[in-house]
Amino acid sequence: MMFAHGFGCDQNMWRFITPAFETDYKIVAFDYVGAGGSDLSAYRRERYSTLSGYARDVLDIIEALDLHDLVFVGHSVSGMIGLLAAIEQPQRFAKMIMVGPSPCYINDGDYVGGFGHGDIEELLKMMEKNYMGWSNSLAPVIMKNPDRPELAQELEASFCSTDPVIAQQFARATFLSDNRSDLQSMKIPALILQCAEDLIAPAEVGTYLHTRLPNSSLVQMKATGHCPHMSHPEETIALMRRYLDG
Amino acid sequence: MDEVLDRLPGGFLTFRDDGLIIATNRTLLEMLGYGDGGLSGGSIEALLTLPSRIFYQTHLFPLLKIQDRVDEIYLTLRTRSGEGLPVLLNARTIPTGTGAQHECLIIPMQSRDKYEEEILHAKRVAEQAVEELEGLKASLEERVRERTSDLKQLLSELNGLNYSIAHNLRAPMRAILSTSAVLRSEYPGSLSEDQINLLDRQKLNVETLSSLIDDLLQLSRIGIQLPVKEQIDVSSLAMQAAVEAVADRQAEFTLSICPGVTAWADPNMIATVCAGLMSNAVKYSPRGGTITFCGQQNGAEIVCFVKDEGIGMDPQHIHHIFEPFARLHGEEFPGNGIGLAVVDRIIRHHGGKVWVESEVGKGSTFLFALPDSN
Repeated sequence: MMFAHGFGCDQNMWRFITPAFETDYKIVAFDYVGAGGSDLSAYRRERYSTLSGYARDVLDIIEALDLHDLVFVGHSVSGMIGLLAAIEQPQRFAKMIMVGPSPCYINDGDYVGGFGHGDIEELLKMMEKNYMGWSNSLAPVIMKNPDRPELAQELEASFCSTDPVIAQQFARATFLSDNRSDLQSMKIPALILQCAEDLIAPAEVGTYLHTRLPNSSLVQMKATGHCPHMSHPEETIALMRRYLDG
Repeated sequence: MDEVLDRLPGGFLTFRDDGLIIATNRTLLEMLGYGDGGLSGGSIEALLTLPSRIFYQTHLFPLLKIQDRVDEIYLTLRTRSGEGLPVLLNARTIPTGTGAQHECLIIPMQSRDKYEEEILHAKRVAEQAVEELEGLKASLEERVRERTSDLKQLLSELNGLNYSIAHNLRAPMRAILSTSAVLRSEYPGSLSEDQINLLDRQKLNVETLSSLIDDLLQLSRIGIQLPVKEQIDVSSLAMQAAVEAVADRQAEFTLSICPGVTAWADPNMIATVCAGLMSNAVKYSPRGGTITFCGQQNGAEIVCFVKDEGIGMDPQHIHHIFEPFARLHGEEFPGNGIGLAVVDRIIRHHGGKVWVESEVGKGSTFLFALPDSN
């Protein structure tokens, strides 16, 4: 069972979920290159400018660990990253669970993604301000001082923080992605966990995804917001288990 | 709510995991334009602008759930009239009987926000300038590359031209030599002494010209051929060159040659260098003088020298002597001024350099350094 984090955090966000599956599954949790505890020197601007680079990370891990019959659990943008990986190598995947996925965040004609381009630009600005304090000065220092672990610890303390440039690029890759045309190529059965009052993946998006994604199930959660695995772990676990056992 | 908390000079708010606001203080309500009430039972997201809501969902809430605290988070609140209010937020998570509760302290930062905007703007301008500079640098480097390649092309054409000019001059010269020889042999009795003298002078001049052309050919050939490097014994090449130079001068000299100096270089070319430096040393030395050769490792180079006890040179003119046809001394010393130019060109062709230390009346020391690429 592979757990992929979404934009803004790292594998730590699964800590309320994974213990429930530890006895029945081999758990693989990871940070995308550029996030969490990953090796920042492996970051390539070109590779991670679109979601396919992140899908490559997923496939690299699958190949390195030689994973089969995989249950892929992806939060937010990792729903689509997992989808891209499963389209490329369907033989590795058994089932997929997407928590708050969206194939396209930007409104486009009749399609309601929830955001305009201006909103995304504003978000990028806001991120920039939140990174103002520490990262511009700290991140490069850490990257260049592997022999000074106390700096890395400092970074660990500011959990979920990534290099600002990388975070901005992940934000762009995420919010400017459009995977609507990829949906029909998906062969792996998928569960869509749709939260109530989710700003980032609104109910319309869940319905859109369900009608176009072959072999998909849509479950409307009681949980509100965008992170049910953190705000409502019990409900999330129960729904995941029901899908996997059913 | 506690009166002090209610009047705190900063907004205070508590909310649950599902975003539901549990309590607010009066300062926050006034800050947001809800001074007369109207803000209860809503979600914290209702107080945020759209980008701040995304940030709340993707960063703030996950951080809070894992660390139980966040500090100095920049957000934009939405006032009742729909305007944006930039704030800094600190939050702590407190476990309660009915689930976690998040307590937030909120400080507006309108003027500081403007200042930060300016800093960010300046940063963007600086980044753009750096980008432009990088672009300019790249295009400059590209131009240097183009020019260098043009110059190399031109140089190789010039070398080729030099070579063919020198080569083509040889045939007519041989013709002149043979016609003057024919004149002598075919008309032995009919030439006057003056005419024979003229023919002698002609022969002498043509021979000078011929050796000049040979040297020029050699000089231009160096520009065309690449050195074929191998491990060579410079000492024995120096010894051989010195012996030949002394034999040419038909005089006695003392030779002091260090044995065992080796280098990574083209043996034929370094033999030419030794011949040039040795004949130069012999030429300008008094009979019986000592000519010394030695060499040693100096960092990544082998530095060799040829020292004489000759007439020396005025340091003012030294820098000219490696140019073709440069001659510091008069007709009493034979030569066409090509020899040292050949030496210089060969050494530079090896990636090395040649220079001279000299003093009038005390002799000269010619030094050359070769990279020790082995």
